Amino acid sequence: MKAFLIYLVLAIFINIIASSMPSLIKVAKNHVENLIVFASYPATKILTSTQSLINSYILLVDAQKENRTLKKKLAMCKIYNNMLKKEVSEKHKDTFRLLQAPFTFKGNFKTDRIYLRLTKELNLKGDSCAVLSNKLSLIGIIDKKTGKNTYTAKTVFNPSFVADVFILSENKRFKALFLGNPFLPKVEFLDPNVQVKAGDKVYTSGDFGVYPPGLYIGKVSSVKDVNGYYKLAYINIDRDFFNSWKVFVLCKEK
Amino acid sequence: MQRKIGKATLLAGLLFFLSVEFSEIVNFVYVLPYSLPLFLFLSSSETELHPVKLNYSIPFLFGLVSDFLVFKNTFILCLVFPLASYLIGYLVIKLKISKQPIYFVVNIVYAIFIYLLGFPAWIGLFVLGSGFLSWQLFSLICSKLLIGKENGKA
Repeated sequence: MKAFLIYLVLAIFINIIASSMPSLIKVAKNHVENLIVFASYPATKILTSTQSLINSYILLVDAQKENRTLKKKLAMCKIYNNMLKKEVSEKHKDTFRLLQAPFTFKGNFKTDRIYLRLTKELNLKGDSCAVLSNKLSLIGIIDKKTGKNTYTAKTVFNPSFVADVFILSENKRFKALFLGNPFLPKVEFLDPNVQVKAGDKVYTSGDFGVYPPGLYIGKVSSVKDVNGYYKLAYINIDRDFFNSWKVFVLCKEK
Repeated sequence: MQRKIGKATLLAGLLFFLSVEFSEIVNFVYVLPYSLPLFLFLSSSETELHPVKLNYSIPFLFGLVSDFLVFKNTFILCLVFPLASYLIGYLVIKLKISKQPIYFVVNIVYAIFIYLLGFPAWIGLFVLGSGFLSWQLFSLICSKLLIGKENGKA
């Protein structure tokens, strides 16, 4: 009981000091708070370390989960890739074969025919083999076998060279027929209403199944109207391949 | 007398340190109001339940610390802590009621208070468990230190 009376007196005394000198209480309060911070330092340190460990663990678990998901996706992609590869290879199996071959012209200024030497024998009965430049534009078609692995090809400069083509003009396609010529290869049978202009590109259409579709031939250099019945378009063919030692042969089932 | 003061200081320091640690653990899980005063009360009231009396000095001191934390310029807990300790001591020593249900009720009161403030129920249960566990530790420390003191006195 005596102790309680002392504590009561002390409490009243402290309350009086607190009301009269709040700055003193503030200083004491700061000391108490510092003491608590000091005392809580070990627990804070341990708990902070624990928290960082937990965070790392959560991060690791998340990363592992994401890794598993990505692995699954990758596996699915691999399966799809294999399926697509299989599909593509089955689709194009024995349909297109691209071979590289050195070539030479028949003679000086005779560009209508070239001689090719291939490492592999061609099946000319079953396949039609187009000759492409090193820029993969159409420059001819193989027509005869002249010796062991030696073949001749008609070039786009040969008057008997014919190809089904289309002219691409402002995203519109106009069908026509390409006729080879040593000087002025041209496109004939254009509808007189068709609006083509110089610079439009000419590609094979592949409609007759002789040439693969979409092979580039050349650019329109000029357009001529033939008495209002039809139009002619003269084609400018890139002759860079003359200086090259190689061409490509693209064979396709007939 | 000097030995008694020394032991009381050691006990007060140890209990204060442990109360702060427990409070820090609880606040690490969920920041709760008045968690440190609760642990200070649990530890200080336990010191008065043993044969060796410290004249409610530790409850008074811890009540003063709690006043600094809870109120701005009012010192009331320095009286409430010794009075509540006396009440618990009366229930335990005079009425021979077991300590455990009393402290369990004290923790339940705090858990209900937390729940009524809008905190989740699970944190109320957590603080109930941690409060009771910490009291067990305080009780063990007090009995060890104060029995040693009693033997020394003998």
